[in-house]
Amino acid sequence: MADGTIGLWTVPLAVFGGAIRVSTPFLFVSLGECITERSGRINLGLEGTLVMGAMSAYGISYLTGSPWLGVLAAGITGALLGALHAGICSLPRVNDVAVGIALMLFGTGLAFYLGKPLIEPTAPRLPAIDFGWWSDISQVRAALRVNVLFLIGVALAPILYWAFRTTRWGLLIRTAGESSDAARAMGHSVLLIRLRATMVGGFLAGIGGSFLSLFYPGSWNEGLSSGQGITAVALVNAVILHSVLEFTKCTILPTSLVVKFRVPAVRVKVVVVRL
Amino acid sequence: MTSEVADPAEVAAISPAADPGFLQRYGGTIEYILIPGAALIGALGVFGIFVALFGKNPLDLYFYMYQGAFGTWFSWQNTLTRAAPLILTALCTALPAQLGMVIIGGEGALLIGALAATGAALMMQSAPPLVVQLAMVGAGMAGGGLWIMLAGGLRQYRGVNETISSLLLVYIALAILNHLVEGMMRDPASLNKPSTREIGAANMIGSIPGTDVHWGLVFGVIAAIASYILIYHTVFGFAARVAGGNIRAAKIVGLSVGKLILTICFLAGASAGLAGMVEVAAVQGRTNANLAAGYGFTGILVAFLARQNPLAVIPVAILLGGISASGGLLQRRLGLPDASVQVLQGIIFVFVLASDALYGRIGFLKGKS
Repeated sequence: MADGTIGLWTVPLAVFGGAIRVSTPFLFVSLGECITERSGRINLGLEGTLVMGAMSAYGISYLTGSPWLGVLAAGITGALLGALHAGICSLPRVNDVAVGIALMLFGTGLAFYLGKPLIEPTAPRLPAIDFGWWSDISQVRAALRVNVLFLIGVALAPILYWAFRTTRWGLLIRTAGESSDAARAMGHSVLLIRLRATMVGGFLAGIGGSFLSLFYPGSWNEGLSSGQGITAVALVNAVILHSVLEFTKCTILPTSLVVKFRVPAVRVKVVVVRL
Repeated sequence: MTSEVADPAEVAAISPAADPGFLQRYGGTIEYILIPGAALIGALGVFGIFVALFGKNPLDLYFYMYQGAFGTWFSWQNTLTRAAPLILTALCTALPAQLGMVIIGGEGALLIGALAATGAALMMQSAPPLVVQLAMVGAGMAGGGLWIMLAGGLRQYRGVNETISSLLLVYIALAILNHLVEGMMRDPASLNKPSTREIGAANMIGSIPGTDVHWGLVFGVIAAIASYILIYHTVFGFAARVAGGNIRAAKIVGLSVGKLILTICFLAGASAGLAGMVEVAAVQGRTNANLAAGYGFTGILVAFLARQNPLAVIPVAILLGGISASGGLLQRRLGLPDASVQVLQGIIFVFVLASDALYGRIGFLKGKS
């Protein structure tokens, strides 16, 4: 791994650069799930949403030539899947966790079905901002090529934290999650609040998927996600719905994932440590 | 299915005003067949529309699905071969469901069971086949059982959501499998597809005489019947159902819920581990990434469609085995992608869950009360 130019510094640099690259989908899915869970539902289907988002972003980006339209399409797809989840869960006596499992199967299946013709072609990818312009060393430049989506996600975490505490919508979502009776007594429809929260959550998770197919690894195939959506949902449960912590976890966990990539002999995922 | 017959009958016997009419006696059972059946038909209808959007004739679709699943003796055998692991992995979800737990990690237990069974067979190559096969069964069940017990233990002692942890364990199991198959246990002769060494033709469990269906189907049916007896006709099963219905009540009457959870999780995982052993000893002959064929995930659907009843798991597994068996024919004749079976399964799953809202609401089944 050491190739002379910066010696051992390659390792932490590669881990840091890799963490930024790998963490973005986790970040978006976790933030989305955070909103959904605050409103009182668990959406396990975000795994399927992530894969559907990746597929639709790649498809739209390939067809229109604009990766940002792809990101938007991924978000809309995610919001629609979120609406499906919320709609089914609104029926009496339907278990939200089970519906999530069903939508996970459905979403991944549908993405593989519709994505078959997309494995071959190459779609335009999202641009990256070059924060390493000051350096001559190629590794440094490579590590500091940061995608805009990552920055948006980073900004979104504290914004959500603030929104949950102070805005009307944030309080409403929390009321629906913590005491649905109170929300009903205030004259709000809990089902409607949850529908919106799940749709926003799905929108964010879809955008996380678009990052997978449009930036890193940057292609569409059926092994693209392999459980990242579920890992992100587990993360949310691990940090007890705290959106600032969310951000730190979302970068620490992928760091361990990246270590996995760098040391190919150790293939066992580090996920369980974080549980 | 007799249990569902028993429940409404008991209710009818207890409530004094009840009229012991046909609907009161069997209304529950009819409901348990009618509603999932209607959900299945609705899902097939939606899938037909979906396929029609891509310019295929839905009637062709249904015809080839029937042909591929139950049309000929050949397809029946294919269906039954696929049903065998489905029965076993469905039990991995259905047994913990009696305790109110949603375990969806059957795929992981299947992989670990397969690895353990292969390991056992490779370690005792010189032993007589029957001994090797028994060791494989033992190792597969122990491996799978401990794997799901891990999820149960995390839930009991650490408060970790068992649904998510069991699903994450699937990916860990897959990683362990890849790690061992590409490393320690790799057969140097397997170049393109890393695999373990073969367990040997003599140690394979073979087919039921007169068919191409392997003995795994019999294992599955026995396991399902044994689970049914365990859940509905033993004290242990009753305790499990009490704990599943009301965990506080179970604690008050002195049931050790922790022990129940761990035991049921072990049995559930053992069943999926047995599925892995069967796949190795009857189909693949070795362990490699082919084993992660999604039987564990389809098993979840089977369990939900069977409403977590171990006996109903058998016919439902055959039905879904048929759907997956017809996938090849759909690919060849209609040019549908191989993921179409997965889409259909997802639609069925969504419909089945949404149909939960219908129970007790169908007018003519309610009787007069």
